[in-house]
Amino acid sequence: MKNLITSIACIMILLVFVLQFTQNQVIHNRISAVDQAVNSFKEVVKQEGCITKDNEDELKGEIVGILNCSENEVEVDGDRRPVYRGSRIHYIVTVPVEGIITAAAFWAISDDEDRFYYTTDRYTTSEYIGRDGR
Amino acid sequence: MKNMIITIGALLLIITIMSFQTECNTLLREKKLLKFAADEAAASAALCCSEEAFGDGVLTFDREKAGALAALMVRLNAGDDAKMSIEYYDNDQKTPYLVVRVARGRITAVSEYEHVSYGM
Repeated sequence: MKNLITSIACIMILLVFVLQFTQNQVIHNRISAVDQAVNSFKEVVKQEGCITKDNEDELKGEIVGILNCSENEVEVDGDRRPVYRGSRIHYIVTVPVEGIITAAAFWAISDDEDRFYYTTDRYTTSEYIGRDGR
Repeated sequence: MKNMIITIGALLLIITIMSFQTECNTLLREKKLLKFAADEAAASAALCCSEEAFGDGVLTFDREKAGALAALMVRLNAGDDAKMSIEYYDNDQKTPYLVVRVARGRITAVSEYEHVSYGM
């Protein structure tokens, strides 16, 4: 009986780590997917010469689908005035990543502590030549 | 006591595997970041056509401008410690292109872009 009780306790402790291993991979995959979405957004920004409301909304929609967060939590900042071919465009995308620790309650970690903000702060070069065909 | 020893052993094993996982993910992210910086630098450099040569109907790169712009993009997107090299292949007029290599530590990313003419 003593062995059974200690075994259960040991398995519970080990399970926390095994689940965390899986969660690490999930977080990594989510961040990769966000990177991919930001990269697609960047390609549109490049062609349009600046960040527009349309491509910002499209990016937010994609990120909301990946992270299950609210659209208001996704921040998109940067150059919003069109610049022509060869000029630099700055864009910053900040997203909240939640659920970093699997068994947060087990370690007495609150929801506010169990999150971080992932920021992509990059530059691209405009390919906009000032006509509708882009 | 036996249970405790086995648990500690298993715990050490899991923690080791987790540290390998973290290291692997960090390397993958670093590789992606460098690839992004190389792509951006190459795309930016490919825009720098030699206007004088273009007027003569020849597609070549303005090497000075392209090199400076690529270096700037790498510095902005990958940081000061990333090393960059650029090679131009514009002898063949069919598809003039350039190759940008960005390296940090042992990781290298390579990107190839074709000449982007005006109006394309």
